Amino acid sequence: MKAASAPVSVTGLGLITPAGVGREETWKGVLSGRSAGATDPELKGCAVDLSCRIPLMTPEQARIGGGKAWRMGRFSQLAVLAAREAVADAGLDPARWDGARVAVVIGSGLAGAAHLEDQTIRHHQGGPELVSPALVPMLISNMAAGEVLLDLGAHGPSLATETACASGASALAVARGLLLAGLCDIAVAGGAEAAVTPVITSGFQRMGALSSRVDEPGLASRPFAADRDGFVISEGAAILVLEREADARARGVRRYARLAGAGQTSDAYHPTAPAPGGVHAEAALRSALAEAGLRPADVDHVNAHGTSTPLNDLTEAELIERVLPHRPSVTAAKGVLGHSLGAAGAIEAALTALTVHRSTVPPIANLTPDNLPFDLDCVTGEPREQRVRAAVSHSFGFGGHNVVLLLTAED
Amino acid sequence: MSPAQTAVTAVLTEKFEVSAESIRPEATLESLDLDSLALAELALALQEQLGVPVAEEEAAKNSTVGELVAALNAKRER
Repeated sequence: MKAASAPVSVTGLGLITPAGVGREETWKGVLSGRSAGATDPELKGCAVDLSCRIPLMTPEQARIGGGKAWRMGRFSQLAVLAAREAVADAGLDPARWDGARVAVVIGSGLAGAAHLEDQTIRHHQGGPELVSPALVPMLISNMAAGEVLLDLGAHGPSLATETACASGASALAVARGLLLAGLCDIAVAGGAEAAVTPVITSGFQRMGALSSRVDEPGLASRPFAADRDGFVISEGAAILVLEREADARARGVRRYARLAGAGQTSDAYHPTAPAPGGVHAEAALRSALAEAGLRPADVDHVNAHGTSTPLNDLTEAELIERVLPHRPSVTAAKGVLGHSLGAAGAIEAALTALTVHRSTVPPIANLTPDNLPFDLDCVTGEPREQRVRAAVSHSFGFGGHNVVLLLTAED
Repeated sequence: MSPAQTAVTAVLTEKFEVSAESIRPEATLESLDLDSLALAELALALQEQLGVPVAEEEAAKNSTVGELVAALNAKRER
């Protein structure tokens, strides 16, 4: 089956991010262009004690129900809550659907690392009998998918994707493949991350990945800025409902955008550094375009990976300048949201779908035109109205994983 | 209410979201929707709150709330 002959549509979005709990709150927050970076009391004593956190949820917003929350890692809880929002947004009722035809694919980078950290402390302080019997289900990375499929009664193919900071994008690429292969009719897919802990944050800090702007936490994440110095660790979840376009049309449901292509390549260069010249990232971009039968000149918007690290943003800016020299608009949500690791690719794909659907490009936080050392049309200051026909969302993960998702406007 | 009763009620309602009215002395833990994973977690939580060891068979699926509280009270008195 040719991809172009069976397009896949995005019909539901669920989002929980530092910009807000829920799709609309997140969109509003991202459009504001104000970074969620703040000093984090839980990181007290760490060399870098800033993060972007999801706002405190009300009991209603956080409600898992059924006496199940205690056994779920926080990343799984976020996935369940975002999946419910996405499925409802798609006008689907899990009590009525054919669960055998529903797939669940959810990525996470560090999964339940926060719980391993807690339980390790308990083990050291009190011995093995203090280790929670729920540790393993709270820890293992497939459990976001496991709890979501249980919550929704989905019995089709299910799995977790682990490609570090591209995990959420990989999940969408895999889900699209399942739909195109006819292995499911509905795919509930995305990413979830909740690993803002002292040990994980210190690990990123020790490898030099984090911004050290601890005295100006709101200014620390500044994708593509000349004086960027690292990312700000974050958390969040995004779940998308995908269906073949023909099915979505038959249901008469609102379609945000087509997921028209997914390019996936690997650097085979270094565990954590991007390959010089970005040649394999470029191959992923070209592959996504080829799947949809589009040319580079057709791309009119880029939702960049844009971590705010010196090397990522340099490599990515050069890639955009080289392959897309016609200066499509560029945004980078990590300025507002920080870097939510395995969730980021799904969050950014969801935001790209909203950009396509609502003809609005959010600005990059903490970037001004005079502080932009690249020949890119970065959107700064205010949201920009723009009719977007084809947009790419870049995700690059430790391990050398490159995933480029192509979203196009529905007719 | 004994300290054991207070602890059992608190853990069941707060951690496992069991409704307070269903926590009757004759209710078995299984009837309160606690599976084996939840029973193990319940034992750990009670152990920490009360400072006494809780054996697996004391918080088993067929144990009633009344039996569990009695067993915990007996330990605390020793």
